[in-house]
Amino acid sequence: MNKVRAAKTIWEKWHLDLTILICLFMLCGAGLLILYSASNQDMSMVIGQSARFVMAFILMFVLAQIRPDHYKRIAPWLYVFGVLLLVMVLGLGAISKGAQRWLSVGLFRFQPAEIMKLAVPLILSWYLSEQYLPPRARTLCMAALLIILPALLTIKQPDLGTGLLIISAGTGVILLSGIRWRWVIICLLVFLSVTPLLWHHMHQYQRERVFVFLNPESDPLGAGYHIIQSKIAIGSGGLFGKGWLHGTQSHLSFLPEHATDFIFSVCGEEFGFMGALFLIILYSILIMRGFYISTEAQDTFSRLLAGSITLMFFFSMFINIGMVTGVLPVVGLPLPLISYGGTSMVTLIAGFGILMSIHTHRKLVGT
Amino acid sequence: MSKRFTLKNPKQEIDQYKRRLAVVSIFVGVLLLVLVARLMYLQIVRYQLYSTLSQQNLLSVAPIDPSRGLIYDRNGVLLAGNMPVFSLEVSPSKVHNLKQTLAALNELIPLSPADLQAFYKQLGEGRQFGSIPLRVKLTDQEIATFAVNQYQFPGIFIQAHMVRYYPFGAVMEPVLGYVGRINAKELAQVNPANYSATNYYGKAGIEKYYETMLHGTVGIQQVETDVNGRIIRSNQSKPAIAGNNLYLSIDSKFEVAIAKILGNNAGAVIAIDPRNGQVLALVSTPGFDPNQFVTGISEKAYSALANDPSHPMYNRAINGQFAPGSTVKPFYALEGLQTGMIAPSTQFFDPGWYKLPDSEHVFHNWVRKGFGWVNVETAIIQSCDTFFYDLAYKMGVHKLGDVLTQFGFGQATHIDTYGESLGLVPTPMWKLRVHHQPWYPGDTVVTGIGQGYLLVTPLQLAHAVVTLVNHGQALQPTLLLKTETPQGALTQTQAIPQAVVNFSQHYYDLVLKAMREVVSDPRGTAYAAGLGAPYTFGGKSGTAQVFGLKGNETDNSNLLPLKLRDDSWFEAFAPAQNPTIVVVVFMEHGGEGHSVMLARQVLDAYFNQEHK
Repeated sequence: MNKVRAAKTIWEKWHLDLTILICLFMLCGAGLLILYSASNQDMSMVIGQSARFVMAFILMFVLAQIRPDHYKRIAPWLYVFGVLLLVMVLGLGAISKGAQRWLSVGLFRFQPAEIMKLAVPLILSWYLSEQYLPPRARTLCMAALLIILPALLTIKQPDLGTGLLIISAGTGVILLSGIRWRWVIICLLVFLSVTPLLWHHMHQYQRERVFVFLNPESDPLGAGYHIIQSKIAIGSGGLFGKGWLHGTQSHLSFLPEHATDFIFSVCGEEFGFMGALFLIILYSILIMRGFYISTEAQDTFSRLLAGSITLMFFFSMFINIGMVTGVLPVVGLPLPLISYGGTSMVTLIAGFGILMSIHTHRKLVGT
Repeated sequence: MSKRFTLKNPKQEIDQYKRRLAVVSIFVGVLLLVLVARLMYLQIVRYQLYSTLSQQNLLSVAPIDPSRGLIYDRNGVLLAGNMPVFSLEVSPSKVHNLKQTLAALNELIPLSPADLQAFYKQLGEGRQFGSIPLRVKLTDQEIATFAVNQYQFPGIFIQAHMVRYYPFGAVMEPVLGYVGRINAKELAQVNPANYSATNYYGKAGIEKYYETMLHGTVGIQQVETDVNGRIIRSNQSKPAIAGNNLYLSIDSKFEVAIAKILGNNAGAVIAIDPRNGQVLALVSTPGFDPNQFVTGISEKAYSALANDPSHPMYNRAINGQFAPGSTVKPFYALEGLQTGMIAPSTQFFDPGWYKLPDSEHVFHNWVRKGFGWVNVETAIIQSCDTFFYDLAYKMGVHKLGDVLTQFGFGQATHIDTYGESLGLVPTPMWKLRVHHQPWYPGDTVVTGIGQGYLLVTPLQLAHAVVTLVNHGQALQPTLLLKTETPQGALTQTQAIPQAVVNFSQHYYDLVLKAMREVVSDPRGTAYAAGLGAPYTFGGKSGTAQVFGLKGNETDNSNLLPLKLRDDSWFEAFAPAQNPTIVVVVFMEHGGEGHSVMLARQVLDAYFNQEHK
């Protein structure tokens, strides 16, 4: 089919993807509404978040202009840089809430693990696209190493959530690259046998989170408190929710995480099943668009990159909502684009910028 | 054997990718459906349950305060107990408009600015459970007033708490320490869930050292409350476990008697049983009443205590670091004998003064005309400074420091309470580092009579005398005698031996004999104190000149202004053979010999009571 077009649309000229843009705006807008309520009507938090959105969108715009082959070139450098930062964090990170996840550079504090959320897809896509596909055993091992190294460094911080995210998304990419199914089964078996080792390395409080996940009522004063209250909040929202700003708050008002990790509970309580479903549909549209972009990509690197960024986004959302509804143990991961906080949102939106770049830099020539 | 593509085939790659993507998409779709299904379950299937839980009957988990363990003396006399107190508490998450509600409340029950300040501070620290106290110690009138009007204030209620009280007040404070309101830093050191119902934490002394044992374990109570915070139903899911009761080795009657003997003077007394290291008394005066700290001391009262020139908050017994004076002479004598520097029969002539070679500076004996010919035994009995100036110079600062260190000076005694000071055993390296000056021979000489840079705590001195009396077997001073679980099981603490100071038993005998003669020999510095005693004892006096001002303005009817008077020490053991008690009496600015007389009174008190 002839795909040559006479002129580019204005969006394409600016290397923007309309679908993604609309969904992002709607999600960010919804997020601000929910944040306003979750923060007990603290306008300063909303304004702060909006300012971060503006910066993130500017970054997204800039990244969308850059051609994908530039990304391919810097992939290994970004990865090495990110790993070094992770090592630094373990060494001398500033302590925030008992976990070393941050580095301070002058006035800025950021989490190096966030860089890995982009760097790992980048380097996997770069590496795998250079190999013969389907990948051979040696390639597979190398890919696994590329994933496990930053994942372990992150988990050691301790930041179990982001570590798991890196592993899930990385695994997804390897799957996408066409690894033969027998290898998948072998890896599954290896993973099952490695789980005890992972368990051994987990901090006590991380292990407790798993126990409490299985039975939150066993520790109602400690770790189980979050899950119990979250389920009550969400469940009591019913079909249409209690209405904006009308969450009883008595469950969540003094939870330190209600504006961050558990913000979905506020959404569920105030907007009900309909509201939650609406959010999930928006996320799904973004994910479908991301997958679509990956199928329309014109070289292996772009294809894999689009797929992996989309998977990273999907897992961020799935892990958070799963945790908040009691499907997964509490691992401390913010809800993409809605939770209060800068670094995670910036990397996600930046990722969409890269997606837009991949899509709009195609050579519009029929195949 | 898997197929290998020798050339990259884009079309095949794309197709294969699309196949893979399809699989991954299905997987993603399934997971999304799982989420949606879960939401449906929570919000539609279980809606009634959760709605009820959230709106009509709020399911709260309330922590149950565990009862703090009691502290007794060795005979079962209560030293620290718990008594009920009623306070006004706020459950912030249940109050709709905090500022308004508090303003309205203030018209009923006076809330001082200090109360509000403390309340907002705790609110800011973000405790998520239970309630925050607004005003403690309500009067009966206030309780009644509030009870009648409680319906107007949802989220605010009266809570009965058990709080600590100390029947002996200031006397026992140096031993027990006290509890105060827990702060964020302390909360960070413990499991916060365990402390979710507790407002208090040990801040000093035994209360702090044994905090974990005394605190117990929090209980959990599931309560269903209505929208106004009234409890509809409660099930206790896990009862609280009370803390362990502690029995201390302290004898309260003895301690009270000693405090009376010291009176208002600044000083300290420590009494240890040398057979097992049990601390029988630990007194520091003047003191302060710890009961005022329990529910929160006002800033005014606190600064009055902190700025009091007699330093009542200063625990002289374990924190006070002072020059020991002649009390360390017996230890030097041991070292001199053991290293062969002197022999028991070595004669030394004391003209009443001492001069270093190539120096014009004169060091005086405390008896100006000197004691004439002395040996080590008579030097101890009469506390001959000249003998020890010479001994110190011959031994050198390192040997002096060595024996002091072996007897535990300059280090922790590891007594089971909080906050002991380490004192100081000076060395040339130390002086260079701290004072940027070299060590002079004169420094060694004055160290020889326990002056100069040497600092010890009364506790360290008592500990060292216990070692001496035990012929070198050091024992850790212990305050805890036994613990009692809530079920009544008793655990006795054992004596804890420490490193042995291995000197010849013959020399130990000699030095102890000399110390007995300090009391029994008419030339002895404690002879007057020993007259007429129905028991025998031995010891060594010490007087330390005070360099620098101590700003003590307590007036006294003696000749010299207090701040210039010397510190006075006496270390004693009784009975003279096979002692059952070691006592150290320290009086700040006591003047020469004062502690000796007090020590006699202390021993009188000890022997007049029946002791096993």
